[in-house]
Formats: sequence, structure tokens, C-alpha cells
Amino acid sequence: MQIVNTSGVSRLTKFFTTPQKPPQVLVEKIFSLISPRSQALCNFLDAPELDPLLNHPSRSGEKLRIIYRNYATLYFVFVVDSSESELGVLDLIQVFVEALDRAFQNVCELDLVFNFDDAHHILSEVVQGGIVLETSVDEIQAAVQQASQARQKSFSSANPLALGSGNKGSRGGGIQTPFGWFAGRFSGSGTR
Amino acid sequence: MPLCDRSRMLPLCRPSTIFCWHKWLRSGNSSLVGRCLWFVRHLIALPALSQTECLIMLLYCTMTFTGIPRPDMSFALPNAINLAEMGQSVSDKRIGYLFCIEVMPPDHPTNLLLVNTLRKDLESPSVTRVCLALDTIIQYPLEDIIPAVQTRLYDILSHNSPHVRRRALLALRALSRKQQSIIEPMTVKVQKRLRDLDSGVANTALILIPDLVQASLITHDDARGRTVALLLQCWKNRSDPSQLSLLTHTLSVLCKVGPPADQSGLYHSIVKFASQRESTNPALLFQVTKTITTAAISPGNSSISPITYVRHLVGSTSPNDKYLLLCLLEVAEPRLWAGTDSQIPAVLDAFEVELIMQQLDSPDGLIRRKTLKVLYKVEPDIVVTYFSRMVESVSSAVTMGMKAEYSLRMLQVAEVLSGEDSESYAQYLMRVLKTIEGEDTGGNVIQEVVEYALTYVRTASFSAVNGVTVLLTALTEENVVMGPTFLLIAAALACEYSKSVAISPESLLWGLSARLSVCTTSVKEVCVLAMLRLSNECEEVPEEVIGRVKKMTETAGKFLRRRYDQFLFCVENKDFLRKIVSMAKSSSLPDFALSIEISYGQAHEQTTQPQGPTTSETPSLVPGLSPPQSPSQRPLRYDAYEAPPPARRLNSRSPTKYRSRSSLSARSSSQLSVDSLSSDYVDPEMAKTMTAGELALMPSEVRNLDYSPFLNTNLEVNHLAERADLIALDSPFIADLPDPIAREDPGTSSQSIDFESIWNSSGSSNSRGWCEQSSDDTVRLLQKLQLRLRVISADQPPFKGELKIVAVKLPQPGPPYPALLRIKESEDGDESCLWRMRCLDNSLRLQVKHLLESDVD
Repeated sequence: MQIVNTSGVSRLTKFFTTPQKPPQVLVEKIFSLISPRSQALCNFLDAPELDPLLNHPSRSGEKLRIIYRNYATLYFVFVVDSSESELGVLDLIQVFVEALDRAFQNVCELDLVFNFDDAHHILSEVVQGGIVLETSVDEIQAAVQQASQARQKSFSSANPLALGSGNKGSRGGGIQTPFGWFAGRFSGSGTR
Repeated sequence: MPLCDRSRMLPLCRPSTIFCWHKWLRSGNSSLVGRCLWFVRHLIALPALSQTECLIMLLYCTMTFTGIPRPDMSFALPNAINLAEMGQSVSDKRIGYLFCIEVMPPDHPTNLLLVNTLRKDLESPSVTRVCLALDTIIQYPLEDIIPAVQTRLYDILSHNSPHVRRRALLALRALSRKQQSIIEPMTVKVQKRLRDLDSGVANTALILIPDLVQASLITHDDARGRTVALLLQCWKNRSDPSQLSLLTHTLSVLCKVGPPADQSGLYHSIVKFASQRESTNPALLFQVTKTITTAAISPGNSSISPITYVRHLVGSTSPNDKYLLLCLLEVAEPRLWAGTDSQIPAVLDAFEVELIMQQLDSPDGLIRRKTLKVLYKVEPDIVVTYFSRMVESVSSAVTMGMKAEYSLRMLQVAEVLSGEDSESYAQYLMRVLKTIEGEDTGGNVIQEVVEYALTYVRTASFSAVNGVTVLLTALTEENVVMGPTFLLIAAALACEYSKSVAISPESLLWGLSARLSVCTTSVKEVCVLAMLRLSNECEEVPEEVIGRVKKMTETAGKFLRRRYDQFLFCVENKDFLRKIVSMAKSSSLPDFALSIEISYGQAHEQTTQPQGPTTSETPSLVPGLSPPQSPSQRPLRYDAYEAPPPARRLNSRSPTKYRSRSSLSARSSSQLSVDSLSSDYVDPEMAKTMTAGELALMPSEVRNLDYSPFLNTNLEVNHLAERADLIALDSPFIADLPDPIAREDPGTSSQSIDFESIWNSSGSSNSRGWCEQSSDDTVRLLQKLQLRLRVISADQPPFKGELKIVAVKLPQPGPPYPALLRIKESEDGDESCLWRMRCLDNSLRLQVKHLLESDVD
């Protein structure tokens, strides 16, 4: 799974199988396949070229397929084999984006850069080890919030003298924003 | 500079620094990348600084780094493991685990250190910690961890938290891939979890049902019965949106274990439910249609075809709706909707069928292929007739671009017509190439067709040997006229399949050598390379072949003569040839060509060293052999295509391994200095000492980079007020676009354009080829295109020795992505040149490419 912007810069990459070639080769290859596609084309495409790159047994009869969606300047891309429902994955991308949007409140590319560890976490609530774990945005949001509360709790217990919580500047979902990070840096409360 | 000064170090942890490094990493400058990693490497050793942030930065560096190979991050593994173990907050522990998952290879010795940490977290009363440990096991299942966590995992299958129960199921499934017996004791609990009140847990338990059936722990009937019960329960609760995912998954599992035909009424109710206009559920719709087909429900059981409910999709203009409809038509039995069974009336009207037929001309390749498959299932003759019509209309293709498009479309039809019969596919391929190339042996290679055909053959789910034999048999026949594209495909396949096909390599050599005299220069080179590769398989190269090559040498230019000499030398020195072949990463031609260049380069270095040892097999001892050039200096005369699958490699190569490095012990000294740290650092670029001045100037230095506007604007906190909605607004990273031309003053001289950086940043859209005229004539040719041209002479940097051209469209409504051309005169002294082009504007690139190619015609 990868998130890449329209300039080809990767914002989040997650492999659920060990690739045969360096990840950057894959990222560039996938981007070269999806970036020239116009809006008039569907969001699915066959990608036999990826078989050797992803160490996928091409003779197993399970063809790799790329499913992507384009939101503003970002492409959300999943590469799946035929055991996965491609139509379901298209919906899953929407679920993932909505989950990001709720967590960061009007998510933008900047959020993914500043909080890409949190983006990893949200992804892990949606897909775990290559298996779709959750498709309900509400459930994902609840899980993220639960983790956030646990983080605040553990931060408070670890830093009893800290002012406020360890999650300053949150806009809602409990994810630390760039502003929060800046504020944390300047006040020094986020460092040890 | 001492690195103990926290006030100096803290700025490095700020987001701004990430962006600085992001720019540096993108620049591909190994020195800058080295400095980034050098900083983090030393920051992480300082106890005063947050290891969490350092690890995040390292992960970011790993993800963003564009070079190959990836930087080795194993030096931070001890810190990550330590953070996972000792992290005071869940967030810290998560980063520690995440770093291990992303960076640590499965066979890394330090992964044993994680076992105890994971076990302790699994025992934790905190649900979040347990989930964190389970997430790690799911993503990073280690065989060594099984004895330590097995009992606990069985226990938490009944945990109060559904999040834990669900993850425990997945963790056991992941570990069962390492040790299958682990799944047996959980059989009863999995069946129990199918009835879990939480639909997510039931959904996860369902994933394990096919595994249990495969392991013969439950029978098909048992699995089917339980799944049907779950299906009925989901259907009952369908008003709950969370049940829809479970409903889809249940049908999917039912297809695997065999859906009962007696539930046809339920299936059709689900079709009707999923195809509601306002809330169409494509995944559910597809799955239930597939279930109906798999259950082989006879028409008597259902009077209504599932396609009846999705007729509204026929007229939809959305490409995804079209795709969904074609998926449904492909999976549904034709007799249920196409009127092929006299007892079942057709579902679609004539105009609707016509609309579907129109998809054969869709610009989307996947939709075209789906349409072909649907039509082929209904009536194969429709597709046969369509192919014949395409063959007849090929004459209207005049440009190379049109020829390539026609060829690819015909090959798509050929794929559907030939199915899994590779011989049939080979016959169609030959017919397509004969139609496109005719009797012309001196034309241009249609590169897209070469790549497409080779990829198809290599990735086919069936054995392609028979098909390859058909193609290579044509190569061995003297009277078969082969166009350049056909010859290139045959040469590539001859190298890759010479050991598999029942054709002697001598015959293949003979066939290639016989066509040397009639093909173009670029194809000649490929043929000679293939002959070199094939001669390794021959016990003795036929004299006739050697004679032909010697004859070609007499009239060849400098470049080709070098190849011919290589062939003649290697034929006489089999050991040297064997060494070249064994060095190649795969049996593909590009890898073999690379191996030749490297071997000759090494041999040349040996002979040029004053006191270096020389062996009798070094090619440089051959009189008249010109000094070799490095592969980077001498590009291949045709575009390299992807290597074949690893299974076909001649010499096995271990998969990409992460380099392991001895772990860096955490440094407790607060008076750490560069000198004390440099000893354990091996990369000379990264080991460069950063002075205090450089460190202090780091942010400002980055502001001066080409890609700085983002940095200047986004580091302002106030910028958050202008945050762009992901779905609505443009990216703040718009400055990432490599359009420095746009920022050029109109009067700027061509020399001031950073040709090299634009060239490097446009690596994703390459074209290259030979132009049978001089570089000056090529420039004059480009002037026909109404482009604004800027020419940088060959004696000016960068890329000295090559003429550089920057071509920009006029007028230019959008960002002006220029076409960059590098033109190198032929070394043979003839009127030809090698051109290479990079251009992010696809239309401009194709325009220039076709111009340069069409002129040769």
C-alpha cells in the first residue's frame, strides 16, 4: 500500500510481503503506471510488470492488480492479488481516507508528513498483515481515539509533573498536529 | 564539534529539519543523504534527546530516500528494541515496534531480543499494550516467538476486548504460516468466535475457516453449515452497516467451501439489496453474483437473472460503474442474461448490448479486456470477427505511435482468443507482427510491443515453452521474414528459453546470424548480444555463423565492430564467456549486456594497471579491441526491459537482504564528540565531519535549495490557518513539481537552466532511440515542432560530449514541463546519433519521439 503525491513523492509506504526489488523501484514503477491515467479511466489496472518486483509467483494464476484513488494531490494505491476483492479495496481506500480525515480533521498532505507514524497507526487499524481488519470508519475512529487516550494516560503516568496532557494542540481525533509538535518543541514538554 | 550541546541538537528534531532532509534525500545527492543519516545516527546515541523522534526521522529517511541501495538503518535497531521494551508511553513503544517491523529483516539475530518484550506486553493488563504486541506479531511473525506466546494467545482468544480477540486470531493465523500445528488447538475457539457478538471478531474468525478446512480440522460440510448460519444472521441484521462487510466476506468464504444451491432465494434478495441505485454495494454485488454462479443454480430455481438488477449500470458514464458491470457480466453465466439458452430470455436489450460492445473501443485497457472476455464467453466468434476487422484496418496506422497502439490492442484480443494455449498466442503474435511490420526488415522497433509481449510470456499463468518454441522455430527458418520487432522478441526469448525449448542453440545462432545483414544497427547489436549468450550453450559454434560475423566485421562501424570482436573472441575463449554469463543477474539480454560491460571493464582495469596481474583470458589482449567503457557511459542501444521472473535465473541470487551491521551500543557519555564516533562509521560520505558552522547554517542552507518554496511557506505556524482540505484544495507541496523553468526569468540564458537537476528529477519518463542523421540535422528537425528550443553545446557542462536541448511548448497553459534531450553523435563516424529524452509532459514527449522516429522512416 502506498500514498504518493502527484509529483511522485512517497508519503506512506507499507509492504505486507517482502519485495524482491528496493521499495523505491516499486514506488516509481507504480507511480509511472497510475500518474498518466486520466479521470476517464477506471481506478483499476492490471500490473503484470510488478510480479517480478514484488516477488509474486506469476505462474500461480493470481494476477496483481493496482487499485487507486486520487484525492487532490495524493494517490492512495493498493496492489492486491486476485484473492482480494478489488471492488472491496476501492471502498476500503475511501474508508482509509475518511478515517484519516476524521483523525486529523480535514486531513491534508502536510498531516501525513508530520504525523506519518500516526498515519501508520491508522493504516494498521484498517489493514493488518495484509488482511482487512476493519471497514467501519466509526470503529476505526474509536480505536484511534482509544489508543490516543491510552497514550495520554501513559504519558501522564510517565510524566506526572508535565503540564496538561502529552497531546497538545490536538484538533480532535487525538493525533498530534504540526502545531502541536511545534508547540511541544518550543515548550520542551514533548522531549525528554 | 561536540554533540552534547542540546540547544544545537534540538533544531534537528523539528519538523523543519525533516523537510530539509526530505529535500536533500530527494536530491539524490549521496553526500547530503549521508549527512542526514550521520546526524540522526549520532543524535540517537545521545540520551538527552528523544529516541522516538530520531527513529521517526530515520523511518522517514528510509521511506523518502530515492537512491539505491537503501541506506542501512540497522545501527538503530538496538535503540528501537530498547524503546519497545522500555518505552514509557504506548506511543514510544509503538514507534519502537514499528521501526523493528519496517527495518529488521526476519532472520536478523537481534529479533530474539523482541521475544521477551512481546511476551511481557501480551501479559500486560493494558488492552492497548496487548493490541500493540499482537499487531507486531501479525506483521512480524517469528517462529522463535511461538513457544513464548502460544499459550497466552490461546487464552486471549476469550479476552473481554473484541480488539484483542480479533488480533489474537490474526496473530495465530500469522504464526501458523511458520508452524502449521499451532492452528489445531484453536479449532473449537475459532468456531465459537464465529458466533461472537462483535461482527469484527466474527469476520476475522471467518478468515480462518478455509485454513481449518485445508488442514482437515473441520469438514467442508461443517464449514459450509456454519458459514450459512452466519450468512443468515448477517442478512437478518443487514440494517446495521457494520454487517455488510461481514456479509460480503461470508459469501466469499462460502464460494471457497461450496455454496449451497438451496439458498437461491436468499442470494437473489442480496443481489436486489446490493444493487439499489442509491446505495450500490459493488463488492457485495460482485460476491453474491459469483456465489450464484459457483452454486450452479439452475434456471428453474430462479426466474430472475442477477443482471436484471444492474441494468441501470449499462448506461452509466462512470468508468468504475462500467468496470463493475463488466465484472458482473464476466462472472455471471451467459445463459442467465445473454439469451444463449432458448429457455431463458435475454436480459439486455439490443441497444444495451450495443453499449457494451462500444467498450471494445474504450481508452481503458482493462475495460477493453473485460469486454473481450465477456463477449468471448457469450460467443467466441464475435471476438474472432473483431480481430479480423482490426487486422484489416491496420493499414490506416501510419505513425509509429498508431502502430504501437494497434499492435497492443490486437495482442489484447489475441490473449483472450488464445486463452491458456501458448502456441495459439504465439501464432497470433506472429500474425500481429507480420500485419504491422510487413516485409520491412529495416524499420523501427515497436518498443511497446516488445515489452508487452515479453511481459505476457514471462508472467503467464501457464507454461509458455510451447509458444516460445513456435516463435523460435520461425527464427530458425530461412524463408521467414522477420521484422525488427519480431527479431528483437525472438532474440530475447532465445536467450531466456534456450535451455527449455527443444531447439538446438546452434540453430538459433544460425537464424540470428542469417538476419544480421538485413537488420538495422540497433537490432544488429541485440542480435550479436543474443548470439554471444547463445554461443555459451553451444558445444561448438558453427563455422558458417563465425564466417558471417567475420564478414559483417569488414563493413561494420566502430561500435558494432567492437561487438563482433567480442563475439569472435568469446567463441574462442569459452571460460571468459562462462564467467560473463555467470555474472549476469538473470538470463535477460539487458542483464547479460551489463555483465559484458562489467567484465570487459574489469579486464581493462587489470591490463591498464602498471603492475597488475593479467590473465590469458582477458579480452584486452585481443588486438584491435577498443578500450571498454563503463555501462553508465555507454547506454544500450535499446531500452532495457524488466528482468524475467527469478525462477528463470541462471544463477540463483538471494533476495534483497538488509545489510546487518554490528549494533551500536547506546552511548552514555554526554561529552560525545565527532572524533569518538567516527570510528564506527564506514561510509566516507557520511563520515564527513560536520562543522559547527555547517550545523548552525543547516536550515538556511536548505532555504537556498531549488525546492525551497514549500519550506519557506510551510514552516510558518500561521500557515495552519490556510490548511488545505485533502479532498478540496491543492497540495502545499506544489513546489515539489520539478518546474524550475517556470521560475526562470524570460531573459535567462540557457546555460543558467539547471539542465542536470531537471534531467535527474524527470527520470520517470524516458525515451531513447537512434536517429539516422547528425545532431545538427536533429536540431533542425526539432525546429519543425513550433517549440521554444534552447541548445547547450556539447563542450558545455553538464554531460560533456553530448548536445543538450531544452524544448518547451508554446504557448504553454499549464506548468511548462520541458522536454530535455541529450544527443550523442555516433562513434562509428556515420551520420547518426543516439538521442535520449526525458519529459514529464507525456504528449510533448510522444510528439518529439514520433518526430525523431518518423524521420527515420
